[in-house]
Amino acid sequence: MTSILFNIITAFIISFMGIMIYRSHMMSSLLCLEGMMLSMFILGVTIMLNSHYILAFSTPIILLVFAACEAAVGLALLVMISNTYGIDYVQNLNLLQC
Amino acid sequence: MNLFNSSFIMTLTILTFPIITPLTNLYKKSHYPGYIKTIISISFFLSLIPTLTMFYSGQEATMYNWSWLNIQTFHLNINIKLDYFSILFMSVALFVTWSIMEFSLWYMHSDPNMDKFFKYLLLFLITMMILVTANNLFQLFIGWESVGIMSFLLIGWWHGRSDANTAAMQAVLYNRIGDIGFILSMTWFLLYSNSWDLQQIFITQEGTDIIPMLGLLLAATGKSAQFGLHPWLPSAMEGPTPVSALLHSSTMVVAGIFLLIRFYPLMQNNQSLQTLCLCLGALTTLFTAICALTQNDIKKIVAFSTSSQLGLMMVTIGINQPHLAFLHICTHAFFKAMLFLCSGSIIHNLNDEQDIRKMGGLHKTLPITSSSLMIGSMALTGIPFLTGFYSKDLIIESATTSYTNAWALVITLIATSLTAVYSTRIIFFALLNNPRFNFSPSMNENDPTMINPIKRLAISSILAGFFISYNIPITNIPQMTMPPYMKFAAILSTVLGFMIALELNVMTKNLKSNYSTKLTNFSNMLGYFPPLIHRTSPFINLSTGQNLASLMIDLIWLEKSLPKTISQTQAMASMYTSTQTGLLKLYFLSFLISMTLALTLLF
Amino acid sequence: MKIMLMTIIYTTLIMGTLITLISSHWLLMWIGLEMSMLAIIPILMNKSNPRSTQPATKYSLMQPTASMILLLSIILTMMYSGQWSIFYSNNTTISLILTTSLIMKLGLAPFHFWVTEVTQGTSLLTGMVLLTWQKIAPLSILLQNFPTINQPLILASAVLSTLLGGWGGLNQTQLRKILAYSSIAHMGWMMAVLFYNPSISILNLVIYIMLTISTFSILHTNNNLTTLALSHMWSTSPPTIIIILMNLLSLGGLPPLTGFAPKWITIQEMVKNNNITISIIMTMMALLSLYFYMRLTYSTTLTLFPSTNSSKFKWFFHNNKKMIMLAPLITLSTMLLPMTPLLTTLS
Repeated sequence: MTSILFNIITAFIISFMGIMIYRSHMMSSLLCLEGMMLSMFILGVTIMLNSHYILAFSTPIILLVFAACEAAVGLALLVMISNTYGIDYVQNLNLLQC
Repeated sequence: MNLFNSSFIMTLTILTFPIITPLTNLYKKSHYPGYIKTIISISFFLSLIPTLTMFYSGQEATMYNWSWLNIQTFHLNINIKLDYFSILFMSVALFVTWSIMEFSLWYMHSDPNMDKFFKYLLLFLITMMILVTANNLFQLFIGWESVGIMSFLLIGWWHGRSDANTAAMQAVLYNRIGDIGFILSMTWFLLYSNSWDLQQIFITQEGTDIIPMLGLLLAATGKSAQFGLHPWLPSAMEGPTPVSALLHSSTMVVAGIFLLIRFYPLMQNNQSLQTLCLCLGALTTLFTAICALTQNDIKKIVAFSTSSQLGLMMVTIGINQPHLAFLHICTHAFFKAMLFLCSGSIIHNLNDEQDIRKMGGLHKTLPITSSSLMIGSMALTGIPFLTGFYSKDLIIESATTSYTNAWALVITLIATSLTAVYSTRIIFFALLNNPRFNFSPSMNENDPTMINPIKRLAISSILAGFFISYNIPITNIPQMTMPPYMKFAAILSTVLGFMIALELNVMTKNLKSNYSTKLTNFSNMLGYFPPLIHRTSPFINLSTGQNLASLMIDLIWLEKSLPKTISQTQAMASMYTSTQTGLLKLYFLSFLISMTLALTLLF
Repeated sequence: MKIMLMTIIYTTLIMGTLITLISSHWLLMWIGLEMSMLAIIPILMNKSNPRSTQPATKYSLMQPTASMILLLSIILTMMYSGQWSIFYSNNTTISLILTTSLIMKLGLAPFHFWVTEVTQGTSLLTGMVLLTWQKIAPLSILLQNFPTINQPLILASAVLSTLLGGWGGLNQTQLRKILAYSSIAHMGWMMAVLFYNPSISILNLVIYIMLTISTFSILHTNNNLTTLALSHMWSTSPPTIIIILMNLLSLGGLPPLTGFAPKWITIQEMVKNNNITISIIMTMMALLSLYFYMRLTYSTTLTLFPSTNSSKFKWFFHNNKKMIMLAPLITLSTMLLPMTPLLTTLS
């Protein structure tokens, strides 16, 4: 269990660092978000199965549903941005500085 | 015995009549200045009674009249001291003032406020009388301060001129410095003797304590214009000439010396203070004599000669001869008043011309004035058997024979010889040679109100010294034996001064005047003393005050250090913290950093 | 169709926050947060243009990240405790992660940059929703968890929030940004007292929401976006400038107005709990906020800015916007201070 936990947390942290540090394409940021989500999904599934929380077996599915929603919203915005600027560079989003 | 006291009181009381009577209807019609002159002459003759009594029998008295105020054990009485000093001084002062008043009738006849002027002069005299006859420090202080106030009013008589106002202010301010010393001494005596009565102070104190003595010395320095506090005296020449005459002969300036004479029972026990007096006096007499050398204003020369003589009196106090100093005050009063009256006569006749370079040849047109001026100058320099001789010669002799320091003695001798130099200068430039002015036919000296006082004073300048010193009852001058060169030191230095000055004046009369040398400038600029003291120190004080108030308090503390710093800090912080670049990557980076910090620091 | 869509979106928004408020199940709380977060993005993009895309993008990158971290802490809690309900564990790591994620969601100090930009990029009413309604859900989680949250972190964040909120507002002329900074500062005040007495935090939140809604409403009625526009308002509706004066001073926390009450009680509570230093610092920082509110009132009410002649005839154009709740809100947001004694019933 410990090694699995370590693995999954590492995956989460790497995705998190990815979203924090990698900043050219918005697409990669969205992928990193998905990575975080998926690592959480796997951790949830593992825990549920390991501990036999039968009542909570639906939890990972709910997580996935919301992940899908988020991804959809993110992709919609990605399309908007690509539409406007022609490329999904994050540093283009500087219209509101002062 | 009763005549002594009552005539003395009468002398004082009669002086107050002209102050009181204008309040009543009695003397509305009469000529007020003349009335004052008459009252003073009457008062003088009345004062002769106690004076002659004292000459005859050596009688002295103290009158305790009225207990004014009791503060626990401290009693304040009105009491009058009738001793050698006060009686003799009163007669001399009344005589001199009588002459000056009479002269003022002529000199001030065109002044619109003549009545007021005479009242001021009279008040000046009365305050001096209060000062002289006081037997306690409180009365003395009243006289002392009133003399200062009256001098302020009289010096600033022509208050339309800014010079006169400055001179009056200077007189008051310098005297305030002296008053600090006087009040210090009063406080000290109040604390340590519990009395302001002179007798009690002399009984309880030995005079070994330096603090009250230093206070008295400071007071005398201020009032008698000794070195350091002297610049007001030549400035006081801005007042009318009779005021100068009165101020310099019998009131005001001698008050300081008189105070020290009053306190001689304490002074004589204090060697260090005597040394101080000696050095101060010697410095004053030399410095002012040097200043007198290059002055061209006739009144200024005479004023500096007064200052020099005051220095000489201080020297006399320094060699512990108060009676001699007092004798010099008395004799000095006659010829100094007369010198001023003569210069007043000259100035008036030359249409207010005071510069001696524009006079000359006056011995033809103003013979009496000229001869009186000559007599006065000679008396001043101490030519034998004139009035000045009797005191000045004695002073020099007792100085040369006493165990005094040679530095002060040499300086005094030099100053004595310089006295002759500047006296010669007045005589040479004003009286001899050819006239250097536009002659006006109105020049005359026929008015008796002008000529009588001069004559009277001229006679007394010749005889008074002899008369006083012949009749003098008290003297503690030791029998002096000395070698001839010492005996002749004073007269030799004087004659030397006369001859050198005469030679120099004759030699340089027709020479082209050169650019003035540094030494001339030093003397002519009064040793750079007034510019240094009157400009530099106020400038430093004011600029320091301004800098402190405006720079340090206002600009630095109230503006820069608090409000400006705060607002600038906040503005800077605001700029740094909230300048948005609008870039997500920077936000994410800052999130990462703060998150890492939170996890590492707080874990 | 548009109405249908907006109804669904707003319902989701309201439902999300309500779910978070009423649930004691961690997953449901998270779901409520996600729902309101997903629902606000279309609202942000109500008018679809590049200017509104940007705040939506930033919001949609920030908030899911915070949600993920929250989810991490939820699953870790579940793993350690084995239950979904709120469980006061003393695990420092989990409480740190939880606190951080909630601070991020609320937009408190070290994570506050997105708040101003997102507010600036949207319309006034959306900004109002963002600054009021969206704060309720994360705050309710914080309030339910207050013994668990990491006290040093939350205090540091509170002080930093008041500080940066004050400093940030000094540099602004845009009203939405100023109000965003004021929201950051107010959040700081709520956080400061959270650990000592959560009910005061709630009071703080309620009053803050009232004040913000009334201010935004007034601005919305006259459509003022900048200080300059505010300074020309005297020509359109003179009574409003007085109301704005009162409202802004109430936001700043001047005594006779409502805004003073939460600050007063907060300071009192902190001093009671021997936390004098932080209360002093925060009081001083309140001065910074007060300064920029004062500046706004100055340009609005106290002085007449130079203006062109045409701008003086703005009153000619009628304003049809109606804010129904404005009058009671203004009354509440300015005159509630005498009701403060009622607050003794809070604790």
